[in-house]
Amino acid sequence: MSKVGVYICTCKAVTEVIDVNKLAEEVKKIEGVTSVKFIKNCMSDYGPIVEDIKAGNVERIVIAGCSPRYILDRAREYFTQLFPDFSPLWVEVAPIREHAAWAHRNDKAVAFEKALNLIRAYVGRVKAALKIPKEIEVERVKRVLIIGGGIAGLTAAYDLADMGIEVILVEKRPYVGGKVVQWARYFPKMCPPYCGIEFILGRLRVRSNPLIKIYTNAEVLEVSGSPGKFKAKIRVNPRYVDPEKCTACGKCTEVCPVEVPNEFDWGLSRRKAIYLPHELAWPYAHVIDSNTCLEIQKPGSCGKCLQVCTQEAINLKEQPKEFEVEVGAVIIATGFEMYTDTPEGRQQLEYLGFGKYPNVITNAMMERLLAPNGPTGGKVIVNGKVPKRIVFIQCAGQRDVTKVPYCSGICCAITLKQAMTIAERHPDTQIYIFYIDVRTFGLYELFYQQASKYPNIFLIRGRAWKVEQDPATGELIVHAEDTILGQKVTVRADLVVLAVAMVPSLKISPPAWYKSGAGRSWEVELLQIPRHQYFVESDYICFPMETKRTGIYACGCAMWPMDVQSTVTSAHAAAMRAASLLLGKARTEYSYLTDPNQITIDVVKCTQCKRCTEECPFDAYSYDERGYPKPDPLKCRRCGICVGACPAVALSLPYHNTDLVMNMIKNIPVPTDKFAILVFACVNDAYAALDIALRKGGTYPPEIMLVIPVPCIGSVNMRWVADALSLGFDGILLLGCRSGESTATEQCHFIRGPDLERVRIENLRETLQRMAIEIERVRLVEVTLEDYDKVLDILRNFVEEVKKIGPNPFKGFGGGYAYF
Amino acid sequence: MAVIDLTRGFDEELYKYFITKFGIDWKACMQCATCVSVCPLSDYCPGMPRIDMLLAGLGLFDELAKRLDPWICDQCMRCSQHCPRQADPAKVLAALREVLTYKYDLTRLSKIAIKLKLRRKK
Repeated sequence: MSKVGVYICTCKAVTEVIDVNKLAEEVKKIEGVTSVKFIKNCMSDYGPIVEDIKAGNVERIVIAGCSPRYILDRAREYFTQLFPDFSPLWVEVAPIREHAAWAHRNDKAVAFEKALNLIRAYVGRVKAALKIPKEIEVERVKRVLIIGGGIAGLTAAYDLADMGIEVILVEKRPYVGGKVVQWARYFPKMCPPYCGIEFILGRLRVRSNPLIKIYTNAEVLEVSGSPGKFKAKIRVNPRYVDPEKCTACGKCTEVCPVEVPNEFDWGLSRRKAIYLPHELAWPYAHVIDSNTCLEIQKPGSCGKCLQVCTQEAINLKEQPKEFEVEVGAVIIATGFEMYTDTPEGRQQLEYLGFGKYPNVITNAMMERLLAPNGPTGGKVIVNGKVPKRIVFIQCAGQRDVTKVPYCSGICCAITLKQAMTIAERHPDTQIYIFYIDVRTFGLYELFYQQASKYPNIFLIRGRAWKVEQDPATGELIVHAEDTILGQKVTVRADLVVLAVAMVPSLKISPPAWYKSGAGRSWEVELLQIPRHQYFVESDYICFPMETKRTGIYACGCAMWPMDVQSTVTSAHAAAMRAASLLLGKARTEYSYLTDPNQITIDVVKCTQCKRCTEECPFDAYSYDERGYPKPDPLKCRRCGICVGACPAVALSLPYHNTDLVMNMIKNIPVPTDKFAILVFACVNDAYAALDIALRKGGTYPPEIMLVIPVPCIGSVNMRWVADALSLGFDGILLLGCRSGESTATEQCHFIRGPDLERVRIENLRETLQRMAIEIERVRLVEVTLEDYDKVLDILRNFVEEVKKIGPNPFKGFGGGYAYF
Repeated sequence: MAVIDLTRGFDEELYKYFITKFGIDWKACMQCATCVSVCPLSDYCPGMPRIDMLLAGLGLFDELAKRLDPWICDQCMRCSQHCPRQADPAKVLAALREVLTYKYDLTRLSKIAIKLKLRRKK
């Protein structure tokens, strides 16, 4: 039997209401308590506790004082540092200030009884606590796989390389730099993007850096395993030109007989089958398009480039290479595609004449027209002459629930940038911009002001609804309503530019590499909510760089539409998260890998029902060879949802399991003459809300016997609820976070705790009916942290309703040990 | 109401004259309508002086000629005081009086005057 020491805080808040001397006398009578002492405060006065531990009087500690939210971590850190053999879970805090002295501040007798019950519960809990180390060592491969070599991928790469982490960068195009190298200018500085890419490649020391390996023309085939040691399978498609030998002299391009539309210019120009992607391409080497090369398609039919190449760099028989590599983390930096590059987009934008009239182009094409290395050398020339009037149509598809429901966020600034560039280069061209709202956030507002002062830029508020061609003159006529004037207007234009939406690349090329342990689809696993937008991440606000899969991070336009500045910022952040995973030491909850709170499974109890696999929000479960669920501690985020899910209570986390919770509950004597109600509260929101409410002077009824903090409301097992009811508790209240998986309003940091719990309560109905207990005795209420003014009313109302139902028929029978 | 053809309605000469004479800062107007809210006369002339700013910005002087706002304006300068972008609507209304006289001129002699003035500026 372990020896428990109880240390009662004698701060004024407690002693005002509770007679601590009498309390100490009563506490001494609790089974297992060997030492009861007073401490001046529970934040730092640990002298008496240290003495007791040194003298061998106590093995477990219960500090009775403030809420565990304030002091538990601190106390655990203090004692584990002082006594290395001491398990952090051997310290518990009984919140007699909040939940006894304050909650019943008007009734001293009740407060005394409540304080005693709290100490009884926590003594029971601490006796059941397991010994775990403070942290565990996990071997992690210090190598990160970055998918996508755009500005986001490159930025993340240099951050990681700087921290000594190896980087494998996989890019599907034959050059790095992504979309950024196709743009003409950055806003608002109006500087060339080439400069930025050159700067980043220089920073990376890409030609000599041993930590960075860039594979162009490559794709990721499969990523399996757990965070810290993923196995990635990569295929490098043939380039047919050896970048080590090619000097990019360009002779092969001259003799190549094939000409196809150049995708770099969105088809505005043509390129050969062997070509240099662009002037500053890295690797600086030519590449052969195998789909159009005559010699590759039909050997012996051409081969002209082979004859002119003086370096013998061309090898048309090159085969794809596949290899496997171990990586610690994965960063998704796959970026975006233009909406018009999707079949759906081309079809949807037909009403604006895209695809119908050659003079209707996208803003990406306009970017190429303005680029000095573009098809027209930076001048806007359509059909051989500078257009007299150009119309920009904002929100071509965006903010339209039938097309692209979101706002791409940056098209307004892009259009203003392009308009200003055109206005500078062609002062006689009139530029009309049709917008719904000019969304130039932050300092870009100054950019908007600057643009509006150009004499030949005209901003018209109204959504263009039709583009048609005047059969007589061939001009395009744009129809809209000027909503400010309240009149329909038309503009005749020589060129119409559509501000086209950014669509995440993952929507167009799904990540076939993603493998789920439980066989779930990648959409469920990686995408944010709502899922139909195909943007990657798990929690929009609290941990945006992380996906639901530990070890897989996202940055750039794969997360949501971003400008270059935000993309670079997000890449830094994603690199930081990956580095924290690979180098971190469990000092925060983020370093899941070294957290000793690992799930254990009792195979004797397990019935292989697969509830845990099904409900785990983080895909931590796979199956072992006997068909038992196999938790992966590296993927686990310690939410305890599987502990709550398991119908056989076979799963346990060291800091949250059936023994701990049931020992708390069964150590409280259930009164036979009054109502007794148990509350489970999510430690993140509801428990904190209760703390605030009680601090502000609130009280709750004496019928609330105990408030048990749980890591997530989804981690409350229905067996505990049923057992508590059979012990004689009259009602169980569950306080969880706001749910709503489909609407993005959910607040649960473990994605779907309240949703799961609601389903479980519904499933409990039948069991309770068999026990002749009303299901109304168990209720889940959604509480957010800001509801601290309502949470006490929720408790009061629940007590009232339980009183209406009447006492629990099981009261006084002393049952409830079913879980043993 | 008829559809306004912005291309045909655009009076390039007057627009250029207006800008060369009165500068370009007034084009910063973002149609927030602060000017209408503070204008004591906007109860009688709806949208004054915001709509005049808009029409001038689009070079639609034919539409402007139909409005009385530039002539009713008392030049109390309240709109200019409150304009968040310092577009100076009162000044624009005053300036419009000059430009619109050319528009009302049936002899079209003023058009020649503008051409001469623009040429001299160059």
